[in-house]
Amino acid sequence: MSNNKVFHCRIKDASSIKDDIQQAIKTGKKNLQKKNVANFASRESFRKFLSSYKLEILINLKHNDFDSIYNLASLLGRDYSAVLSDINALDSSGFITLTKSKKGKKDVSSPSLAFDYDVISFEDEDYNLSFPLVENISVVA
Amino acid sequence: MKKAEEIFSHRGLTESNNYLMDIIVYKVPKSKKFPDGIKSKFRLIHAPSNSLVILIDNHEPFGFHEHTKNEERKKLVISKWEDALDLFMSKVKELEDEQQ
Repeated sequence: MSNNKVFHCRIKDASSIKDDIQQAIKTGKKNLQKKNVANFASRESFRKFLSSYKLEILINLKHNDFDSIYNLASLLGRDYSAVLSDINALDSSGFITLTKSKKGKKDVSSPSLAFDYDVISFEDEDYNLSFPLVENISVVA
Repeated sequence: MKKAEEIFSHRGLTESNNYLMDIIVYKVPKSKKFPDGIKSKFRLIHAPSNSLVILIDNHEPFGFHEHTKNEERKKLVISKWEDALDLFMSKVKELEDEQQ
């Protein structure tokens, strides 16, 4: 059995949010966003979001510590502003966290995975895709 | 006073992936400011820059209002969270349509 830690990506239709809130209010049963889940509007938007560039960033964050986005961009050999844009998108959608600190007079942000997950899993009615961040991984859905 | 209890939260990207909807709903004691006992916050964040684009909420001592870009509050003629959510969603749709 797999003990791999999974970050889940799911499709969540915005039109169902009102019903979900009403249900939570009516029943008193909490319906809270989980830290290991990212919601997407459609399969297509997930496919566009998780580009090879973003996956490369996540794989690097899995295996290395970076004290700044600049250092990450240097290692990847990519333009800083493009990496920053990817990092912000990964941060706001919950894949990673940014820890802010002072380096001299400068504010720096250190990116890291939101938690130490091994694999990203996408699940909808028809598909269950896995994107491992480590080698030799076996995923049990 | 009894503390607000978070009963619903959602974070999800829009179809374009340019925006992140961040919605939080709390149960609070019923009062003049919270007649239905619900406090809510609807935020839209521009994902590539991680910057706030829309914020509609009804925290004390105000009723529902929108925080504008110049950090002022625009009072909304809304008293129910359902209407605030509808307004938020229509604003999100406007921005999404602009992307196409």
